[in-house]
Amino acid sequence: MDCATSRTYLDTYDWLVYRSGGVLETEADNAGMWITWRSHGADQIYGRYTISQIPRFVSDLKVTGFRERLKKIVDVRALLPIVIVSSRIHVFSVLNRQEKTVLRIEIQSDSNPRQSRARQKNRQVILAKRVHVFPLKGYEKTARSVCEVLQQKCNLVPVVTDPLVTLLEAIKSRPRIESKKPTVNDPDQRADAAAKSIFLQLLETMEQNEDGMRKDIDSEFLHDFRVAVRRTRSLLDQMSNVLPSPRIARFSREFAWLGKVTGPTRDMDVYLLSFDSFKLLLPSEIRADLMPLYDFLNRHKITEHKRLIKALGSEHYRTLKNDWKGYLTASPPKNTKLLHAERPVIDVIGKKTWRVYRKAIKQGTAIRPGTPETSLHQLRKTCKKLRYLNEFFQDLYPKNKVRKLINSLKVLQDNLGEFQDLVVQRISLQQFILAMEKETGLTGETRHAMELLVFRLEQRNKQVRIEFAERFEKFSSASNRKLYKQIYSTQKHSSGDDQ
Amino acid sequence: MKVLATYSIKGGVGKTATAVNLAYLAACEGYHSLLWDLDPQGAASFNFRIKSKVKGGVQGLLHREKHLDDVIKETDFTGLDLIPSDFSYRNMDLQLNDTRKPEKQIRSLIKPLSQEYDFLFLDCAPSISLVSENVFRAADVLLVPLIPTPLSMRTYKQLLRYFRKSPINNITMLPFVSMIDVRKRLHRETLNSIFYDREGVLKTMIPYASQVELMSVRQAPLGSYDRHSVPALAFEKLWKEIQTYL
Repeated sequence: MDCATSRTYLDTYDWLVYRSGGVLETEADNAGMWITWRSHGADQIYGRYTISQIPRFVSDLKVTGFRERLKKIVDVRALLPIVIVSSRIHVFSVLNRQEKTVLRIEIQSDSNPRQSRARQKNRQVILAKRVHVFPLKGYEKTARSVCEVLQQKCNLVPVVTDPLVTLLEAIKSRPRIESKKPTVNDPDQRADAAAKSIFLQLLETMEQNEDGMRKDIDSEFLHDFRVAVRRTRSLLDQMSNVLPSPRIARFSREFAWLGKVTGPTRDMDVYLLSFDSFKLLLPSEIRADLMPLYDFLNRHKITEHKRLIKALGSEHYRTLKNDWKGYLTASPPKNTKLLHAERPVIDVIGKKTWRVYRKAIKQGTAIRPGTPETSLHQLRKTCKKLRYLNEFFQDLYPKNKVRKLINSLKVLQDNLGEFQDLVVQRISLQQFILAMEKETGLTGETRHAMELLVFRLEQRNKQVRIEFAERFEKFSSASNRKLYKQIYSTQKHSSGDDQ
Repeated sequence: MKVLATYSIKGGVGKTATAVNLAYLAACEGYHSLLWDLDPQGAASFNFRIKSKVKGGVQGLLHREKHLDDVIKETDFTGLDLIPSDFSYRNMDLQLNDTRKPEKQIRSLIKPLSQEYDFLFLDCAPSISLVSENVFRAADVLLVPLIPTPLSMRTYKQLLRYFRKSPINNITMLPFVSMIDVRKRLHRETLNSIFYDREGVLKTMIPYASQVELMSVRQAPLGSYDRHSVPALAFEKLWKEIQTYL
């Protein structure tokens, strides 16, 4: 078989498919369009089926095992075209005596790799031809013999790079697979310099996500941006006696503003992303009654997104970024009155982490079945601070021990996070009922569906609250405390008091 | 992984055709689907042009000298793999008897595959034996083809009686009418009694058709060479109906 095709390789902004060892490609010719998900080097095809158009999200694919498996990897991230190429393919099937295919061989001639669908102005680029040998499970022996023949008799050289990598090289690109988690790794670095380096990495993350936020490519750009803002605020909170107080106060205020202006759009994103799970909480016969809520959320998402773009383009934001960057890139002062600024980061952070841990234990222990919801929210905020400290400085400590601490914290945070989300969702849905009534009117069926949803969320809320005690018990266990103490409260160089 | 077994005490009712076509349809939808040809006749394997041969035979599998994953063969259809039949399967009952927990062997053999596949179809040999009991314990769904004839209905009653006496938890039985020929008066009359007397029979009926018989000549699932034929569309409809129970 001989055919001319156009292949589009898809991946998320952060290369989740590639990082998981896979490649996602769509292929279109006169007969139709296919999507294939395969391993690097195409040793294994994870799935392949026909599609009518290139999907933007996994949810655009029809419900299949392929979609469910791919969703576990890319989740809600958009699938972006990373490289497009025209190709001529000759396909050969090797059959055994039963006329069963035991091997597929494709000779591929790729030309004109490009980043977007726009027509290329440059002269035609033709890449070296490739012979692909696709072994079939259970018939690997045939593939090995054919490869031997191709190498020995035809003098072909085995290629280890995936065609995707070759195409990316041709357009002077490459997969970005570095971890983006901000960390420091020199325990003796000055505390203020170490903190500034983390702040800089967080600022970089914010800047990287700005474009995706403006274009609203997917909800994760805004999410990652907000996480970077939250982390910045959280670390700023721990910077007393490391950075000058006026600076901390000013930037804490500014980043709080940034958190506030990006909040409403994120809220709408979260409700839209949770919409399917909301529907599942209702009996199937009334799920359709919830659709006006979906339209309402979509409408408000558009309005809020416009406000967000305005904020990102404002003088306020530009000044904040410039001043912050200017401050972070300036070298640390040689002489400072700040107690901890010049001390090794490991000493300062150890003590601070231990202190935040003890605060979390104190707050959690005080929570009883009748304690107001706000106490759980306070504990949630403390746990976030603890988590960020654990993560930012994890490279300074034994990896497996810190991992253990983070995992135990995660279990508690999941519970606290779900609890708080449910509280907020219940309140918001009640507000939405009023707002929808005012804006477009509300049918009795939709009101009933939304009220039932609030009721179901309330039930779940109670359940999550009951689960809290067990989760906190594990977090506050003697073994966990011992580990915290061992890692964070026994640093040798301690000097001076933290204020 | 959902396990669906095409099963009947009676032979020649369309078990293999059903298993082959449903496994193919699942793969076409992007599911990773596996078909285990448990019938020593090896008709399902033949339909995919795969030799009925498992290295080490049933003994090798039951004594864990070979894992199921080692004997899987990829078919010519993306997303669809097959565990071939083997002539030694004729002695599977005897071999199972020599193992510990003989009625749960198939369930334990397939367990490691549960992460890799979305659906496993078991194409069973006609009988009611220790192998059948293994299938009942491994399957989530038992697909029972019924030809509208008294003999076929008689074996179905036997099966129901068996389940009444030895109930199996968590298995959904989905009987459906297979190989119906509306030109035959006997089929028409029996069909009335099937839907009148019995609850839970699937609505979709698979007609008797030469296109289905041609599968053994083309050695391929019906949908791959005659997608728009009446029986191919009936299998599609059947698969959709079955999915509502999964």
